[in-house]
Amino acid sequence: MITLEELNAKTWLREKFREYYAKEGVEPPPMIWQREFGVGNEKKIDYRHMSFRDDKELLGYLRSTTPLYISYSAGYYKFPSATPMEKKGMLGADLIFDFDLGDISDTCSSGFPTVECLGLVKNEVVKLIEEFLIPDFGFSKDDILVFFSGSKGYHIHIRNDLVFDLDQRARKELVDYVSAAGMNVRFFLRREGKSLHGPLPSSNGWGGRLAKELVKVISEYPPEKARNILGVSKSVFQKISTRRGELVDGMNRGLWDLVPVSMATWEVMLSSLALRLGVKLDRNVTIDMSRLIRLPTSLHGSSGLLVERVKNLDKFNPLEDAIVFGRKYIRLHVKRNLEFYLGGEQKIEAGEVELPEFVAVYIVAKGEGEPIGEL
Amino acid sequence: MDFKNDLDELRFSVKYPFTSVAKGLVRRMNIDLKSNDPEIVEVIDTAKKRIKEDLRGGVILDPRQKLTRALEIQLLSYPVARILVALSRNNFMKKRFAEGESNTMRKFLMGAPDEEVAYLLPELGIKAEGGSIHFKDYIMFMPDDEQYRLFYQSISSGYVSINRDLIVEIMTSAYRRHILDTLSNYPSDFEFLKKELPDIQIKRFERFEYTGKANADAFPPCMKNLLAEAAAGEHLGHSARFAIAAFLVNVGYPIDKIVDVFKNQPNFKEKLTRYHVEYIAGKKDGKKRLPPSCEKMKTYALCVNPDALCSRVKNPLSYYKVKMRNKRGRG
Repeated sequence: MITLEELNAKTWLREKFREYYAKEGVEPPPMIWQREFGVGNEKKIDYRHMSFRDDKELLGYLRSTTPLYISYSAGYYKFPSATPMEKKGMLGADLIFDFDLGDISDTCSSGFPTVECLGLVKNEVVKLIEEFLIPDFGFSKDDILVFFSGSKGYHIHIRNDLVFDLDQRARKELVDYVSAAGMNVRFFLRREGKSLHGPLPSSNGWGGRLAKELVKVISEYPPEKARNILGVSKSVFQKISTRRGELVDGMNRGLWDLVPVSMATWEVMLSSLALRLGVKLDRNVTIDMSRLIRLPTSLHGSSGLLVERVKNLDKFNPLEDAIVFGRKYIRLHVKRNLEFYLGGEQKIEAGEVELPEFVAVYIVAKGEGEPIGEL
Repeated sequence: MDFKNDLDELRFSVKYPFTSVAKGLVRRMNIDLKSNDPEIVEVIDTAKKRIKEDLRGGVILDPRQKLTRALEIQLLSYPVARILVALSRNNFMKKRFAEGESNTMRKFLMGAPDEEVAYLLPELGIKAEGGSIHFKDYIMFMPDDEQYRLFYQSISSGYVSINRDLIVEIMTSAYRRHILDTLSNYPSDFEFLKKELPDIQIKRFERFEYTGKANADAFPPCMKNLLAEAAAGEHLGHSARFAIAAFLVNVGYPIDKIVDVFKNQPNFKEKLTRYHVEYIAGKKDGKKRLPPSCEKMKTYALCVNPDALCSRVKNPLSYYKVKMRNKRGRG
């Protein structure tokens, strides 16, 4: 059951969103008439199978009905509002990568997102772009659109002819590649006669990536850290470490057994490195072509922050840059003592307080307080 | 492609009838399929023979043949066979035809000089650069075996460098796809050829004859889809085969009937299939295997058209059990 206070809070929040959409609007996705939309107030998606003929219709909807959440399909359909799904007639889809705090670290997955935790997610986004999408797949920076999800993560949208008609299996192959999911490192090594051959640190793709990282970890890192990264026992590490010159020498020539290391140990070390180098993201979002994703440039109902296009990822701090509401003071009843970062450190005591609008919206969206009187 | 002479060009076209060179030759021959010319009759007969051979795995062609007329008939049998298969509106036949034709091309490619392969790549719509092909073509057409997964390949700036054998496999599968995509249109100009169809109709294994207690209506969408694909002769990967077999084992299909499900697979081997199905049914070790969880089905890209009930269950099998319970409750 929804309480009267909650209802009040949601109505107030939607009123704030309405004001925002009336002033700023949204940037509609390309080919809007081929996209399915989903909206929600209670849940992120209460209704789906909606469609809009054009930009004006979408904007009109946001200004009149104003849902707290709005999502659209990565897929393009002949009949985006038809049900069931197979009647929509999929034409193709953008390629999406979804990053969320929950996939990165357990300590970050609850409570208000912190700058540090969101920074960890950002590192994964950078990793995907700089280590995989550009060098391996040859995408250009212009192909890769990065959005702050509006709450606890980032989305990457790639919209071009190249990815448009990739099928589900191909998308799975791509996301498995970047995340190293299901990788069996044994395939990188092969026995030829008596010797064990493997990739050179200068090789392309994952083979080279693993070899290069292995060389780096054994030759540059302090022993204890190196051992932890590689996930091997002290005695095994001792053996490798004392003869690392020889080992690296051999690897630079593609010979991986100048120092005797068991196949099982190679597997442990390479798997640990793969886990470390792979991108941490939600694979299902990439694979599921009929998935709905938060509409870029809309507001997120759990934060009141903007689903913003990130142009300079290096400098981007969502807890500063995605704020859209102002500094006008709002009277609020806050349920408990709160400490979080939003446009600066915020320390708020439970009870009746006056807060700048952007902080008030954030607290109400998180369900931690209700506005007083302003309705 | 440079040809020494007309005969050389004609022989190339017999081997690769999908190329622009071959299409140009066919167009210049300007034949009328409606005429009663003995040559036309022979072309149509050869086309029917070609389809039958395709259904058995591949065409027997003789591009080294010296007689121009015999070569021309071989070449012309390809477009005519395509028309007949498209007219049949039989998806199973379309798939087998595509399989057979692409197998035939594979045989020629294996012995072909490098420049011939390089010439054919763009003809099949594959983007290539030196010994490398674009990653998109690679992931769309790579073979199923684990060793071919993208991780293990050398990839840089969008191109995957692979050896000749693998290029041939990719081309074969791209050609198969190309045939299927282009056979989907019904060639209404050629309705007069419909009278030839009875000669090529093939019996296809009936689907789901089993009417025991398992109720196929209550199967989850993912399993219905896999069964439909299997019945249509769509090539299923390892995880798909395991999933459907384990599911059917658990809903009580007899082993014989499960083996039958795979009968339309392009590389069906009864004994091997039976061995696998018996293993899944726990005949060897008494352990009946469960189908993969919904989560796993998603990561295998096998979860399709999930409905409301799907979101409430963790395994395709529970979906079936819930549905059956509801049915019994109502009935």
